[in-house]
Amino acid sequence: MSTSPEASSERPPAPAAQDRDRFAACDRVLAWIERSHEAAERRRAIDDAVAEPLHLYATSLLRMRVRPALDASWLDTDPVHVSLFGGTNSGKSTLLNLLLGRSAAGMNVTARFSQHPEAYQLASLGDAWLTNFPSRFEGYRRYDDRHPPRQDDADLEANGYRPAFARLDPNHVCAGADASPATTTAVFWDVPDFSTEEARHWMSAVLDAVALADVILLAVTDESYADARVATLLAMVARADARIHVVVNKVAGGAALLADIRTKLEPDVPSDRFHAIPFVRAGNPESRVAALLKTDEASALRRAVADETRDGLDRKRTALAGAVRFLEERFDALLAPLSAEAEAAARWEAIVETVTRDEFLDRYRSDYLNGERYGDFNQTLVRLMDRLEVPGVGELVRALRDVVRLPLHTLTKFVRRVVRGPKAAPKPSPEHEVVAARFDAWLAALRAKCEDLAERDGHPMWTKIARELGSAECIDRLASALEAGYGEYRPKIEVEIRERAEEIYRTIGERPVLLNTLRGANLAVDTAAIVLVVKSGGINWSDAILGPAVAGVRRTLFEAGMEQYLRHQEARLKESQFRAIETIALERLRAPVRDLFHAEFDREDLRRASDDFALVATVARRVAEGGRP
Amino acid sequence: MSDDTRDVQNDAVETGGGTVEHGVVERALDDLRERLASPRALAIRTEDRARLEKAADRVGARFLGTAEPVLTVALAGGTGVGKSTLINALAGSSIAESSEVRPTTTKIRVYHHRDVPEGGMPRSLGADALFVSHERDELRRKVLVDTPDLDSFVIGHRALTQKLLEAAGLVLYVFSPEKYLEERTWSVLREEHHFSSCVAVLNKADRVPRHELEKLTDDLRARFASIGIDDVRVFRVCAGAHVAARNASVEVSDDTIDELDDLRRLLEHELESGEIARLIRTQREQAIENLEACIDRVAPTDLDARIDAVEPIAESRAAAAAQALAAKLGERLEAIEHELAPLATLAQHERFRGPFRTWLSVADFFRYGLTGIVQRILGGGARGDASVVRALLCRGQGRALDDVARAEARGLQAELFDRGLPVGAWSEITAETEGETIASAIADEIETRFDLRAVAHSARASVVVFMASFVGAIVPAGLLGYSLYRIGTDFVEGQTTGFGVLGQFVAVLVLFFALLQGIVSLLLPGTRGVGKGVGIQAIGDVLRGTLGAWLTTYREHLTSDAEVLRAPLPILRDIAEGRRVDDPNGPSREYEAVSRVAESDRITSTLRPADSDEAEERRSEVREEATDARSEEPAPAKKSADKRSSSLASRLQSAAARQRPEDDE
Repeated sequence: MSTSPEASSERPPAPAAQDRDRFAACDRVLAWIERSHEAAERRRAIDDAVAEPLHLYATSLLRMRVRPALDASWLDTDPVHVSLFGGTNSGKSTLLNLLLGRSAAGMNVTARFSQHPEAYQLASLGDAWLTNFPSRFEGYRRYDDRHPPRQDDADLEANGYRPAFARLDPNHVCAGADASPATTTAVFWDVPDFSTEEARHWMSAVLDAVALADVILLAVTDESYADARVATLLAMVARADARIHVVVNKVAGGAALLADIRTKLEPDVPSDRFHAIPFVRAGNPESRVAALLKTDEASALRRAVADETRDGLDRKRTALAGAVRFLEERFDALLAPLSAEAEAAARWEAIVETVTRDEFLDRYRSDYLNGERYGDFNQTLVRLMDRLEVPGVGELVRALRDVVRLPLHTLTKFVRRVVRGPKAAPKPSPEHEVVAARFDAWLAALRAKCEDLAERDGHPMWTKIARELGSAECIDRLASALEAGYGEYRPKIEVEIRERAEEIYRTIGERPVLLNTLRGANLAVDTAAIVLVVKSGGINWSDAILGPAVAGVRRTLFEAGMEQYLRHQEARLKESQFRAIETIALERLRAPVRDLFHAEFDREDLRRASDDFALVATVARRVAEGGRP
Repeated sequence: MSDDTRDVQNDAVETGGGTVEHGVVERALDDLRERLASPRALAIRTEDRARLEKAADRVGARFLGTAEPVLTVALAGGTGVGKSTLINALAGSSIAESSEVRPTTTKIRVYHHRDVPEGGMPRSLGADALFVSHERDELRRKVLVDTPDLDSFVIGHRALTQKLLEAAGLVLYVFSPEKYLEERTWSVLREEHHFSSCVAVLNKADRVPRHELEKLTDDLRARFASIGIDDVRVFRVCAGAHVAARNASVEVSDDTIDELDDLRRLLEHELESGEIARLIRTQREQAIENLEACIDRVAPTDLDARIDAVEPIAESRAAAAAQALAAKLGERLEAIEHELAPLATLAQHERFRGPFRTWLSVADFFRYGLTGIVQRILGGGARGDASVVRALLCRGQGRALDDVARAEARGLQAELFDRGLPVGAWSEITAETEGETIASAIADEIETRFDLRAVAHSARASVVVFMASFVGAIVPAGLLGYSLYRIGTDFVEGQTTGFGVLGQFVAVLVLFFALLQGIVSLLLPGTRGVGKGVGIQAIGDVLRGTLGAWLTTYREHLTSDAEVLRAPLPILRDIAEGRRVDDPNGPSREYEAVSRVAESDRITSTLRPADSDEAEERRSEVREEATDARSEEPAPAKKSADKRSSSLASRLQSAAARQRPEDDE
């Protein structure tokens, strides 16, 4: 009478690596289906109809039937399981007692009395079927020869269902026997009801016991046989090729009723698997069982179950094959909620990508690189002019210019500081301005898209991202990332500009005449600048001269037939600028925003889950066909 | 009998019964459903929509019933619990088929007094129901309805029963010892008990022993208590024992509890007409409250206030955006001002008359040359060709304006979203405004402003213009007369020296006109500085107008949704409280007006702010009518908000539709 805390306390010896593969694959598939179930529950619309508990049943089939079958010892160790399945008060326990030949299972007139699956087996059958497959009842609390405690309705509502099951020896539970059990080699399961409001709490336990069963007895009455829930569950279980017998309990009516039940349920259950148990009025449940045991109908039922148990191995193989086929056919549907989730993540990724391209990169190209305010190539030409100075004389001239300019330069600097204050922010460069403006537009576009999705799609993630994108913290983070990126980018571009200038200079160097012309012109410009500076008492004219000078250089080069070459250099500079900005945008803006959608998995993961399942299915099918795993 | 009849008549008046309102209520509810299916601005989630539809159906079922208050008593429960057997037992004859084959009952069966028209069923349900009439006066004001099941695989049965329960005032939930906690039944009961009274009937009491029956009854009571019904009446009956013996298994021994007579007494006597009227009234109120709660979920009452909160944000955003845009377009604006300044001068000069005007024309000709201006003069003061301005404004900057429009639309959308307002309609409204539209609005606005400045009427200006024109005509005339006189007298004296006067005359004239022009330009303000800063003001106005017009359109859509959804409530309240005494010849004026607003709105839906004026006129006309008809207040705050936003809208329209500036003054 001991209670072991967890069914999984003792583990069998570790299987070989290849074995681990298929078990691990099966566990992963299970985890995916459970996640999918959660996702489905989250997104479920209000629906009044009876829903097919597909996810729960698939989980049960994998846990109870498929995973144990991956173990080589399955067919030798696992006895035949017979489960009694039915709505509340349909008389499941009474039928079970008929099979056991005594009133072992608790019979109660109040609905939802049974809450936990209870296995009735002779102690002689052992418990290897439990200890060998510890994963089967993982999470269940196991009770030996003891009924698990009932949870009351308030407890269920507040704390949820605590899964438990019992393993009971009918001889221990009930001393006085009216008859021997229908068979000694089967485990009989008394299963909670599926039709009360509370049943949603223990539905997974019900389906576990049903998935475990090699023979299912569906208990119906004249009141419940046409219930939508019976029809839904029966159709689902029948499609997994389970061996189902329908037992019509409390029959008081005539042949018309039985005929109607057959007609209504026949699509799912062959007509030779219907049984009827008459209605017996008795003072207490025990005497009712005793009275029923004397009827021919009860004997026929006991015989039928004994026959089924004899063909146990066949039953098990067929049910395994059926379960695998059932899961294979519905695998996509099972993962559909997750696929929807993965699709949403992929959708967000696509949106971020498009918006980054359209609003940021393309516009950066058109607004700055191809816009009126593009100045970096002129910068290159300025550098080129620096390189073009006459060797020896050039430095001298420049030094002279700086000296002449010094007094007024210092003065203006001082005045500026006094007037504007020391920390006057420098005017941002056109490029910087464009990048900042594009950043704002990019962020606003993303946010607007998100808000739109939040309204139309209803996935809670959209609202979350929209709020996140609107939060100052997030905007700051993105903006400073962009600033940092831009800060790193600019020096690199300066280097690039110098390189371009150097390259142009080298190319010019191949034509000495041109080189010398330009040098001369440059010297003239510099000299002119100095003269102007001196004449005007130190005012810096060089900036005023620079524009025309650069234009002059450009024209000279054009005239020297280097137009094509210059354009090429300009395009190269623009291209490397674009690439650099693209890298910044993709890495520092796109990536963090894309990751705002906290997708815990992607389509690739789901594909791997399919592969895992395919492996499991192959092995299980081999077992079902009589081979070894 | 006579007592009963009188009661009926009193209550009919009291509850405002009468077929007159059906048209109004039905139309209001139909409009509500239609709007719910395709709202103009509201974003309605599927579950909210379903809930609201159900609430509307429920209200419909309770108000579209018969003229006189009749209590609909429905029998509901799972298949096989014995509803049909029970109604047969209550009727005392076999009115409904009962059988052991499930599900037995497929249609609603109504057991009613023959004086109750249409069996007291709403039209939608009555069409497919079976009616059995009787002449039992104790059941005069109660209609017993047998329903199909709630739980069989025939899904339609559940839906049909749920529809009927919407109209039911009292529901007998029928249970059996086997089926008394079924989820299928209780999921319905959990919702319906808020709207109708309920009584539990535990049928087939003979199927279980006495002590077990007590246990069941306690369990059943506990379940009712758990949903807040502590004092539910539970009748344990063996309906099968009271109908023609079909079922041999019903053996009624002395031990068996059978409370069918109590149930009968409840239905036939305890529920008298005063009680029924009270029940119906409270249930109607509950249904209305439920409807209102559902509407509040979909269209919260503070929608308007939320938009109000966005309006100042829109204003400040518009101002900031105008600043930024003006900075960006600064050079262009200067160029435009430069271009337009002569036009302004010309427009001003057009106001003078007589010789002075000719002088001014000549002077302008020398000053500005021929370009464009001549055409303008020749074209008789052709005005409003903004294409030059627009072209200048747009060249290379169409995208900047697009950007501004998008940025503002998105910025405001975020504000709306943060306040829980729907954004789908907003993005539709704003998507139609393009940079080019704004550019032309700005161009028009600038032109208009130049014209305005130039011809600004002030008393002083008029006097100056008049005096200048007058003096400009009198003095030359005098001079001319004097010159002619001199020439004439000289000529008479035989001398020709008089012709020399002509030269002096011309010289004096030129001097005079130059002097006059100088004086005029001193006296007339605005000619010199005309156009300075007009650009930035125009941009500010247009942006504010655009944003304001977006908000106005958006508000209109939302308000129209909310109005249509809420339209049934006052009507229903009036009927429920018996306040409504209606013109029997047609639906109320108020409803008419409201629905006409809805209709006209539908025609001009999703419009750009600058739409045809007739539509706007018609719309406002209808709206006024609606406001008049609505005897109570439209809140004053809202009224002023309307005024404010509509003036913004009209400002934009005036710019876009090139209205005469005078309209704006």
